[in-house]
Amino acid sequence: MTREMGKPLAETRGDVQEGIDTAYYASSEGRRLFGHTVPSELRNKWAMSFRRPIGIAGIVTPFNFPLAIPTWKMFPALVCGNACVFKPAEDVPHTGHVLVEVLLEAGLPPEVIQLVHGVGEAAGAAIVNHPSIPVISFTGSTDTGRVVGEVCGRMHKRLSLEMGGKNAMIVLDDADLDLALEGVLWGAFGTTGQRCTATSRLIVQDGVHDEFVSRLVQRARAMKLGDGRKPGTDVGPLINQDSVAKVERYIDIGQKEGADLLCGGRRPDGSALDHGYFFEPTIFARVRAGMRLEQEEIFGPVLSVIRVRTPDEAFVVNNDVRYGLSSSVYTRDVNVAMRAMNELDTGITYINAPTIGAEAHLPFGGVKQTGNGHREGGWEVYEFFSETKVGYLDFSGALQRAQIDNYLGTPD
Amino acid sequence: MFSRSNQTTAGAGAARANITRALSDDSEASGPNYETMKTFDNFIGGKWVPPVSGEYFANQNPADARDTIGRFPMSGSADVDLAVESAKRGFEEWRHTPAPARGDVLRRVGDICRRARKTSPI
Repeated sequence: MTREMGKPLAETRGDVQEGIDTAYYASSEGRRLFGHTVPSELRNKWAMSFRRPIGIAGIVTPFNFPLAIPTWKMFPALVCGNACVFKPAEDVPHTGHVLVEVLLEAGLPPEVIQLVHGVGEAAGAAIVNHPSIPVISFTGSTDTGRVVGEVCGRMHKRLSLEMGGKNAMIVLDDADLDLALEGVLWGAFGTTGQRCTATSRLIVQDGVHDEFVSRLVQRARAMKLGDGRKPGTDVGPLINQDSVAKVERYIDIGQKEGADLLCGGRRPDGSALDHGYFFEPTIFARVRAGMRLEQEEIFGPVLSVIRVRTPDEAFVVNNDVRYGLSSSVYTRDVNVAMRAMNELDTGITYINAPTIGAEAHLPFGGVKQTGNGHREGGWEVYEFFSETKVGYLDFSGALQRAQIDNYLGTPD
Repeated sequence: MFSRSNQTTAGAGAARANITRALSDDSEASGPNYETMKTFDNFIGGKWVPPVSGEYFANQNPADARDTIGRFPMSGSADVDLAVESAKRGFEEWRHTPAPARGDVLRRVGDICRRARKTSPI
């Protein structure tokens, strides 16, 4: 996986572990898939709901978690009884290939899984547009997700979208700065900033701003770029040349907007890295709320630092973006922490932990333009991949009318 | 993009070796193309099959773009049509399989991945 995706081995192992955890969670869900049995309003009548499979699920996945994200989607879809047509990202097709081999070795009937490689514009679009695929689960960019959403809306398909993020870590004056420093380095530069939940904004309160940013820059400069398979590598490459070009565009945008480039901002020197898509960990300070650098998803190792005076101002800055996936607050004040949980407009909020690190058994997803209201992971995804059906069983032997047809007989 | 030149039809043993190598994350980092570039196929209708177009794309190592991992099918709507026809049959079989038995398949998936990781050199 590291060879085709680039992330360091420790992260690849985490990706595989997430897949394993998801497999076991899904396995146990096969013995639940709960419905409800509730009292009927009539005598000698039962009322219940249960879950049915939908049909063929179209699974279109991104490059950044080549194993974990396909498992988040496919395993629940399969346990619910659906067949899958799976298109992995064209940058990581080998991991998709291996995942299908594993499913077959595990005994999945072969026609339940279909693997179709290719690019989004062709194979992906064909899946999304196919009239016999009633349910689509897509993770990728907001722009592509909008197109997918339009098609699925027209065709009345069930759709789960996981898209962009502009996730912020908030460091308040009373934070444990050592802890916050480790958190932001991991959140911003882990997976080369290519996680949906990556920390791309750092909102720091006045009192600790200068000290914290200074320490952060020092540590970021010391991060080792390299082949993810080599020991000691902290940061792997970006996924491809387009990604490098996009990051370079935003470096230019940030400088034109007047932000201070404190470190990085370029491809590294060094012959060992010449043939890869490496980019130095980059930090901009004096970023103001509303700049494009602060608003738009870059999907690379670029961190924008915004200075604020109060926790409330930090919350406003956090919320003033069109995305809402993950947020993080470092503070020792439990009141502020709990208020942040309520006030931050994101699907996930971490207290004293970075913006990354979702666990397989909890719902994952975002608000606003990050998603469309569905969640992956945890128990909620099983509702997405199944239909609720209600069954009534009348064993009275007589025609009984439910309240909706019998209102005259109901006393006020 | 490449024209199809050969087809990989990995047997179960080869598939297992492939799984172990991939989940253990590969081998030692070395120079580009340390392994003969393979051609991979779609899995449609219960078989590994080439794309209808016969066209493939190269999958490169982002840490060293000279290192090509393999060639993968450039599929289109004709491939998806075939996949859907097969998936309809798969769905009919699968939806009648009891959910706990469906879950058992995924438990075995977890077991295979754990084993593959344990046998890795890392």
